Amino acid sequence: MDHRPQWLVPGRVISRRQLILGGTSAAAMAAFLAACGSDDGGAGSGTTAGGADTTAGGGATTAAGGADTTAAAAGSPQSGGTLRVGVVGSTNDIVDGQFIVAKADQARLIAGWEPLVSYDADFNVVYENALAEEIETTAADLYVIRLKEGIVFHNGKPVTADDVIYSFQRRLDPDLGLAPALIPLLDASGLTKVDDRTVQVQLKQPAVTFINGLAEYIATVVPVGYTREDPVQIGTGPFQLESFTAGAESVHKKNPNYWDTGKPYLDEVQIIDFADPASLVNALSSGDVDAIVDVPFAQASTISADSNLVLLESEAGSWLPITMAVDQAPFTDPKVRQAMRLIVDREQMVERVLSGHGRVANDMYGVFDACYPDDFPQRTQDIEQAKQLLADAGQEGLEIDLFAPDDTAGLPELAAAFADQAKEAGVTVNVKVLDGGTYWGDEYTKRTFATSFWGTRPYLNQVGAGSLKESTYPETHWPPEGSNFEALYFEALAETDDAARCEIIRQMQQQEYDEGGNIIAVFNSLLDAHKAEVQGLVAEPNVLNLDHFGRGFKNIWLQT
Amino acid sequence: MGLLKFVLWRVAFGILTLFVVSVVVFALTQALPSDPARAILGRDATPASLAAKRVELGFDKPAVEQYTDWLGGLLTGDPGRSFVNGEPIMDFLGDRIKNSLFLMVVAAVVSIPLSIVVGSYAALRRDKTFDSSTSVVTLVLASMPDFVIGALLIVLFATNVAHVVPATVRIRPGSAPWSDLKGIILPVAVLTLAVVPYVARVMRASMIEVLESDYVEMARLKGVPERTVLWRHAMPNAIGPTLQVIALNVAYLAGGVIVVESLFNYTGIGLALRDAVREVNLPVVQFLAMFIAAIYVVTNLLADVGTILVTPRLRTRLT
Amino acid sequence: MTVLDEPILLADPAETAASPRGMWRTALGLWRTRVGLGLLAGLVALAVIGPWLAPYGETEFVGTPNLRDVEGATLGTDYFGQDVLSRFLYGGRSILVLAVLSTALALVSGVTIGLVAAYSRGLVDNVLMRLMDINLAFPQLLLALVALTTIGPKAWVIVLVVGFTTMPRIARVTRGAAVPVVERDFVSAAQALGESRFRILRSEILPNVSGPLLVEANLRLTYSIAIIAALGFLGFATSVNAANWGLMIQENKGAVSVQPWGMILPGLAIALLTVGTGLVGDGLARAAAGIDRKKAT
Repeated sequence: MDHRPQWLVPGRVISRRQLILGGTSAAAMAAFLAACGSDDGGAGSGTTAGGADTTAGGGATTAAGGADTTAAAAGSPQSGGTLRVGVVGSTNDIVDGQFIVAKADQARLIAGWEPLVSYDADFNVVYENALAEEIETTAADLYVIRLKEGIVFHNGKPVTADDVIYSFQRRLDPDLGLAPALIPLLDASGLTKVDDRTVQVQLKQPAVTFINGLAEYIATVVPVGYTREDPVQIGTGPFQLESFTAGAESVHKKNPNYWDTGKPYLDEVQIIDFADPASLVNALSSGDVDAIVDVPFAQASTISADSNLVLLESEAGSWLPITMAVDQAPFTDPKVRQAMRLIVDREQMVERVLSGHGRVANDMYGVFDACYPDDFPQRTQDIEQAKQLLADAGQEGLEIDLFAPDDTAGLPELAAAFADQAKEAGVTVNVKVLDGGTYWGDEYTKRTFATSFWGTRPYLNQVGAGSLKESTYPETHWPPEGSNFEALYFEALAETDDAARCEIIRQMQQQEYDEGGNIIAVFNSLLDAHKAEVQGLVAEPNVLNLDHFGRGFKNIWLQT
Repeated sequence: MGLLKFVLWRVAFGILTLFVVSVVVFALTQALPSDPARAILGRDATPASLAAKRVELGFDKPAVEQYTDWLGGLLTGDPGRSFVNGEPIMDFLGDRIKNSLFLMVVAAVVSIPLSIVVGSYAALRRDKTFDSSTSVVTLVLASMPDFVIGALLIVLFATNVAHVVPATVRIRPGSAPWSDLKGIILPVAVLTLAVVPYVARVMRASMIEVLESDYVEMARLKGVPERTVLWRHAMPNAIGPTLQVIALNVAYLAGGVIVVESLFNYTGIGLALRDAVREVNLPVVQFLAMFIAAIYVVTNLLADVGTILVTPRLRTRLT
Repeated sequence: MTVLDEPILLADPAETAASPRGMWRTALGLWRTRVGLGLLAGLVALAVIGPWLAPYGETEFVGTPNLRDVEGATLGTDYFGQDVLSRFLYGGRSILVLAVLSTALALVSGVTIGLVAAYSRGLVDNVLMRLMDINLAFPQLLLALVALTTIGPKAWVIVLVVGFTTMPRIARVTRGAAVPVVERDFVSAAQALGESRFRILRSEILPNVSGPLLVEANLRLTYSIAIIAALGFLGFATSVNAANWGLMIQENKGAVSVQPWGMILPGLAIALLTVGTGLVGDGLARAAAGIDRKKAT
C-alpha cells in the first residue's frame, strides 16, 4: 500500500480573492505565500530537496532567537492558560471550515477543522493529525477512505461517512466556489457510502495526485448541513469557535471531546487581528500577544535581538516568480527569456528581498517534489551572456514595464531589485506598482511582464495550476505553440509508477528550465515568532506558519 | 442679525455643506478603479455571477438613482450594508465609532485645557524663559509628524527602552471603549502632542493681543484687580478666536485617527476606513467620509456659536 | 458668518498689512528668523547637493537589510539593504519639490480666489467663500487616499490634492486681509481712473496684502511638508522604493530598535525642515505684529 504517490491537486483552491480582498494582510509577504501554498501543500514523497546550489536540504530548518525552547528542555507539557496569537487581518476576515479569503482565516480554520490526511515534515502524506485511518488506492481514479474510530464533532455527534460525503459535496458546490478546480475531477455521483466509516471516491479521470488534494489543510470534514452562517460553528478540531468579530478577534474554547488524547493543553486561544505587520511585531515586543504569524523578513533581527522572544523559521517551497508571457513580444523569442534569467543575481535577491530567510532557486518550482531536478545546473548571474543573447535577439537597450501588486509585500521589492540588476545589462525596467484590486483583476494573467507568488506544491499540481493554457492562472502563457508539454502532463497524471512518472516529469522540467516563462530566483521561508514561555512549536519544513499553527494549537502549552 | 438668526443661518449652511460633500464623495467613490462586484466574488467569478452581483448591489441603476437611494438611506438612518460581509453598516461600525469618539474626546479633554493653560501662561510671561522655551518646544513638536512621535514613544515606553505601557490597544468586541485605559495612554499622548502645540500658540497670540487691547488697559487703569482683569476680561476674549482653532483640531482628530489607529492597532473608524478603501467597500467609505465631514461641520458650528457667546464685543455686535 | 473669518493665527492679518520688505528687515533682526533661515538653507542645500555626496546610488544594494555594522556604510543598511546615508542624501529633493509645488499651487489659486472675493463682495464673495468652506469640510487624508487610489500614486496627484486642500485656508486669509484694503482711497482712485480689474487686483491690492500672505504661505509650506510625509508614511509614494524622507520613515520604522538611523535621520530632517519654516513664519509674524504696534503708537 503506497500512500505517497505524486498526487495532483487540481489547481489552487484559494482564489486570488484573498489578494483582492485581503488588502491589509498584504503587508506580510509570507502571509500570501503560505496562504496560497498551503491549499495543497508539498510534494508527495519524502524528499530532500533544495536548489542544487544550496546546502539546505528539505529537512533542514533553523531556529533562532534568544531563548532555548525545545520542548525537551522545557519539561513536560502543562495544561491550562490562554494563548493570544497576533495575525495581520482586516474586516474582510471570515470563518469557514473549508475556505479562507485572507491569511488571518487560516489560523481560525486550523483550530476548528481537520482534513482526512496531512503532510509530515518530509512532505509525506500521513494519517497523523488527520481524520482518516486509511485510504486505499486501487487505481489512479478510485479511492476508498476509512475514518478513524471514535472521532466526534464539537457537539458530541460521531463523524460518519455521510459527513465526509457532505464535505466533498460542499466543496464541489459551484455556487459556493470553494474548490472550483476540483469540479473537473469529481462529481457527487462518484461519492458512495460503503459503511458508517467508509466512503468510496470514483474520479472522472485518473489523477494520481488526488490524495495530495485531501491533505490540503482546507479539505476538511464538516458535519452534514454545515454552512458558514451557522451561529454555532461545528468541526472536529481541538478548539471550537466561541466568538468572532472580523477585523478584531476570535475566541476559541478547548474541545473537551477531542480525539487526540491528552490534547489540547490550552483552555483558550484568542486570535487577534492587527492592521499591519509593524504593530504586530510591536505587540509581541511589548507583551500584548504571545505569538505572531508572519514576521516581516527585514524585521527578523528585531525579534532575535530580544532574549524573551523566539524566532521560528520553517523552510517552505513557496516561490516568487517574475513571469514572462511567452507568446508576447519581446518574450516570444526564447533568447530574451534566457537573457532575463541570466540577469538575476539570485544570492542578492535572497539577501535583499528576504533578508536571508530563504534559499536561491533555479527557475524551477516544486522543490519538495521527489522528482525535483537537483542536478540541473544552478543558474547564476551572467551579464555578458545576457547582453549577447539580447543582441542576438535584436533587443539591445530593451525597455519594458514590470508590474507588481501593492498588497503583497515582497513583490514590489522583488521587481525593484530586478530593475536594479537589469541596469547592468543595459535593460531598462520600469516598475509599475498597482493596487491589489486592480492588479489581480481583469488584466492579471494578460500582462507581458509581471510578478506573482505561489506556495509549496508538487510539480504536477503546480503545472495544473499555472503552467497550462487552461490552468486557472496561466501567468506565463506556457506552453509555447507546438510543444508536447501538455500531452506529457496528462501522461504523467495517469502514470502510477513513481519512477516512470518522474521520467515524464523530467522531460517537462527540462522544457521549462530551458525555455520557460518563470524567473524563479528565490524560495522564501515561513517566519513567525513567540514568547519564550510558549512551548510545543517545532521549527521544521511546513506548509503553514507557526508550525502549522501548532496543528490547530493542540501542541502548544504555556510554561509558567 | 440676532443670535438665533445667525445660528439658523449656520445650520442651514452646514446642511448645504454636507449635501455638497455627499455629492462629491459619491462621485469620487464611483470613480474608484476596482469593480466592487469582482472584489466581492473574487478571481473565480463568472460573468453571470458578476452581473447578478451588480444588480444586487444596485449598480445597474442610473448613477443619479443610486445616489438618491443612498442619500435617502443616510437620512433615514439606514446607510446600507457593508459590501464585504453584508452586515448593516451601523452594526459593523457601531463599536468602532464609539471607540474612535472616545479616543477623540479623551484626547480633546486632555489637550485643550492643557493648551489653553500653556498658551495663556506663555502670554503672561511673554518673552520670559517659560514663553521662549514653550515656543521652541511647541514649534518642534508641531513640526514632528505624528507618526514619528508615535513610533518614538512606542520604542521608548513599550517595546525597547522601557516596558511600561502596551504598544497596541485592545478593546474587545462588546467591551466599553474605556476597557483598556492602559492601552490608550500612548495614542492619547500622540494626539495630545499633535494638538497642544498648535492650540497653545494660537492661545498665546490671541491672549497677547487681548492683553494689549484698550479695554484691558482701561480696566487696569480703573484699578480692577489683575486677577479679575485676566479672568473676566482677557480670558473670554482670548478664547474666542482660539475656539476656531480648537474646532479645526477636533476635525484634525477625526482625520488624524487614521494614522494613530494604524500605529496602535486601535479598532476604530480610522482602521475601518483604511480597510474599506483597500477593499472597495464603497458603502463604508461613503459613510465614514460623511461622518468625518459631519464632525467637522458640527464642531465648526459649535465653535462659531461659542465664539460669539464668549466674546463680549461680538455678542454686542450681533444684538 | 462674516464676523468670523480665519482665526487669528499669530497676528490678525487684516491689521498687519505691512510691506514685505519692511517685514523681512524687522524679521531678520529676530534670532528665530535667522535660525530658521539657517536651517532652511542647510536643508535645501543638503537636498540639492546630497545626491552628489552620496557614497552609493539611490537604490544600490549594499548588504543584508537592517544592519548597523556594514563595511562601507557609515550608518548601516535600511529595510532593503541600501545605504541609509545615501538614501537620506537622495531623499530630500522630492519632498521639497512636492511641498513647494503644492504650496505654490495653493497660493496662486487661493490668493486669486481671496482677492476676487474681497474685491467683488456681494454674491460672488459669498459663493466663493462658501465653496471654500465646503472644501474645508472634506477630510484631507481621506480625499488624498481616495484620489491616490483612484488615479494612482503619481506626483501630480499629490501636488493637486495637497494644493487643493490647502487653497481654501489661503483664500480665507487673503480675503480677510484684502477687504480693508479694498475700501481704501487709492483703490477707489484707481477705479475712477478706469483701470482694469486685473490691474487693480495685481498692482493695488496684492502688494498690500503680501505681508500676511508671506506668513500664511510659510505656515502652509510647513503643513504641506507634513502631509506629504504622512502620505509617504501611509504608503503612497510616487514610485516604488524611491528615496523620500516620508517614505523612509514608513519603510524603516519596523526595525527602529535594531537600526534606528533609517527612521531617525529622515524624521529629524522633516522636523528641522518644518521647524525652519515655522521659525521663519514666526519671525515674520512677530515682525508684522511689531510693525503694526509701532504704527499704532
